[in-house]
Amino acid sequence: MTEHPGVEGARASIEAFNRGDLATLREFYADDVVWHVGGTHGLSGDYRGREELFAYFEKVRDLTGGTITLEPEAILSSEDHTAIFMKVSGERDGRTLDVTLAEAFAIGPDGRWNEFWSLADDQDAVDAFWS
Amino acid sequence: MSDHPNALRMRRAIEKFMARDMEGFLANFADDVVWRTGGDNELTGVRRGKDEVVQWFRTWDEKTGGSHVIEPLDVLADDAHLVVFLGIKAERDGASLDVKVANAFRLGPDGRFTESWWLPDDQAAVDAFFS
Repeated sequence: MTEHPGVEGARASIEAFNRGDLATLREFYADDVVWHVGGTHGLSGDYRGREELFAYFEKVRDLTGGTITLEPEAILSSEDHTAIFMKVSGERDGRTLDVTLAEAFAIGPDGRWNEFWSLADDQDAVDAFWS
Repeated sequence: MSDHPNALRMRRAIEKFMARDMEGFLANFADDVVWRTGGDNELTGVRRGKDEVVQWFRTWDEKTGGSHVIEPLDVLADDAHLVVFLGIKAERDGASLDVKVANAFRLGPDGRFTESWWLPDDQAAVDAFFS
């Protein structure tokens, strides 16, 4: 079975994040991307535009000393949407994070992701980690 | 949209739901299903088992006064995962809701839904409507 191009792209973006290659990662997002972070912690809220999004990514990496690691359990894609079941782990000041997120991406007219939203299997653990 | 057999199962499940055939709809859920909803409203939290999921839908029905319109926009599936993107509209007492929800499922070996994540693109709008 041939893989959908959206699946290949998602896998490449995850690999770029894991090796800290944010320059490559930028290519996957539209200029006007909207990134929703749920929960009630310090990073919760909406990030609008690629600059805000990448400032958020930098912050996540800074707060965790670059320990945040993404491990996809499954990647699904169509022309319009990508969905990833994503194991996210990391450490911060002696605290550890180990959750699985259901992640949804909308694909814009130029083929790049222009909206993202997600929910963790254990949202309380996510809130505690980032608070 | 995916033409995977699990995507077909989801389309049939939605048809049952729209026809208010809750028994037929719930036949797709594992008895010990875990149903997660983010945000900060009456639907928020983790429901365990079919009875609690039924209660979740009852709350949904009460709050929308049965006014909701649900449109499947996209279905992504593999052998163990299913994600449906739904356009959901509802009205109550002059308040209106218009969101895109990604409902992500892990599937058991028999194809029934064992875990769910219910993710709206605009959590604040859902919180305002259901609070």
